[in-house]
Amino acid sequence: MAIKPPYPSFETPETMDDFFVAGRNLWPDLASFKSLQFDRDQIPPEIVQFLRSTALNEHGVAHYLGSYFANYQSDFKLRFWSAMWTAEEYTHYIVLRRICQGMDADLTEKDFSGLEDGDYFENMKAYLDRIKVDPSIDMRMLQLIYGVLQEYGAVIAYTAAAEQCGNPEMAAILKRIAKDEMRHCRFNQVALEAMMEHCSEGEKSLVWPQFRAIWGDLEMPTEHIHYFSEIGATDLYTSLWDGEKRSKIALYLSRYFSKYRQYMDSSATA
Amino acid sequence: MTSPTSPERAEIVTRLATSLAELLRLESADSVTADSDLRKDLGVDSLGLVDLVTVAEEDFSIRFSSSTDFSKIHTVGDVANLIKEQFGNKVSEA
Repeated sequence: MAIKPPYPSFETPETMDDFFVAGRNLWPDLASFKSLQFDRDQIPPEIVQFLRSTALNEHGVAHYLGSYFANYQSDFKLRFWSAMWTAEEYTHYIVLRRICQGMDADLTEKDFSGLEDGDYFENMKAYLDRIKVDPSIDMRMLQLIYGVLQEYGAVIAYTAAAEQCGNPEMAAILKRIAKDEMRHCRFNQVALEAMMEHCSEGEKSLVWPQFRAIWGDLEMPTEHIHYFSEIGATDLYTSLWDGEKRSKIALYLSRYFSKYRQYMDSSATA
Repeated sequence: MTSPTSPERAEIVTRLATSLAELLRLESADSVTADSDLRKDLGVDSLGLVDLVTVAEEDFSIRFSSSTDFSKIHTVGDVANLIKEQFGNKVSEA
């Protein structure tokens, strides 16, 4: 059932180019972030913790790269996206770290402990293997579905942080990151839909159950970063999700993926 | 343009009970009532919420408001009320 290249994720590179250009334009003032200043006493402690831990998480995304390269096989466009995406998440790490420095809550060398551990790839691979609904599912498809959830979860997390931080300047920066994460979410959707054009009904029927499997087991692998266990954080993207935020995510994702339920139904009746 | 007509609450509960029985693979929808607690009685978790949202929106041709907080909904009757509310929104938008 697995779909392998030459089935393409995109017919032409224009889509990739559009996302690339939009990403390049989003942070023209990155260098100026060195001069940010915030009064830490005015920022809620849970937001300080979120900013510090999420900075580490964004830094850690770079460690996904090997796993993404492997899962995207010889699909060069998605491999290129992996490089582009991880670089953009690293940009978010820089922004978040500048914010932490600007409120005198900088990360220390100890906080980074674990990020360089070599077992990250194995953790990610084990996780993806665990949530597969079908052993033959194309790993690109699984990765793109995961990407839609993960990136929309990030949109909500950064939006929540912006709403709760109590500082307009910081809120504006966090909303910019949220906008960037929405673009990442959208890319995963566009790539998934482009790939679906070449899939059989049976392959399409895996999308909805795979989405549900990820949704039911959604958390970022964090066990390798010691700072997370110190602060008791096990699920960074969901730490700021209250009932309304979780409902918003459920609504958005179930609506997006519901177009694939029809293939599951037709497959069951075939 | 014809304004959408809201079904009666009892009809909504009946249709929800049928949908939930299918989703949860219950032997019969008879045990599902307006007072049935989604989590405690029916075991609807966050996965069930995703299914319920999808089926209800399709079945009743509605769109839940983006500010809907499902964590405050406990019973099948609560969902029925929410669906009635969405019909009201549709009428006011029509």
